[in-house]
Amino acid sequence: MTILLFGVTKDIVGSSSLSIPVSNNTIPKTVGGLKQYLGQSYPDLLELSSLAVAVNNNYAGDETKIDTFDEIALIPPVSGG
Amino acid sequence: MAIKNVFVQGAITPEYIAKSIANHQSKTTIGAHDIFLGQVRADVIDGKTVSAIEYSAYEEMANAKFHEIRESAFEKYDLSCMHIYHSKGIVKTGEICLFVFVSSPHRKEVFNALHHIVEEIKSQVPIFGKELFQDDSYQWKVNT
Repeated sequence: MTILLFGVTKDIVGSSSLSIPVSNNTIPKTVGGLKQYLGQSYPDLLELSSLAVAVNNNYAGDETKIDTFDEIALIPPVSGG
Repeated sequence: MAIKNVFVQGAITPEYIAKSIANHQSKTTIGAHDIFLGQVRADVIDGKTVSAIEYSAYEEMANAKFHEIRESAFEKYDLSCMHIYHSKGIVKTGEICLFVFVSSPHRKEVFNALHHIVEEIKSQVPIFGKELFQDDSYQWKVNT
């Protein structure tokens, strides 16, 4: 499972994407689970004023199910315009 | 309708904006245009002055969001046309990073539509501005 990173989340993780090995049986099954999982390794992610998750180019709520074939991205506070 | 690419490299020039206006002179059912221009501010934060903003984006999703915003504005308001451009890369203070241009037969529609569209862009589109300071440090901007 690959997670795309943007903005400050890229700085926190130190890379533009992050891989969660599929062999890992703790692989998160929902957006909420993913945030919790990443928060354990990168607690600074949970300190952001907002952290949204996009699944296949749409903002997704915590209960949304995720799978390895989905395009998943972390969206920190936006600042366009 | 195909999803357009909204992003342009670097600042949006006044010449480009003037040309866009000129391009509409043949569309004579239009009676009102409204334009929003976002300009990079030289904010002073903890004694350090912003010299530029470097924009990056989740481009695929950002273009999809711009498309959604565009479609919903056409449904809600009586618009003749709409153009949105946003910078990527470095835009210096005083330069333009966002250009939204809406046109309609009548003024009320463009005032309301423009306000709605700009607010949607500011809150929904995954674009990230890195405020670069004169001393080479930076911070990530957050829209309020």
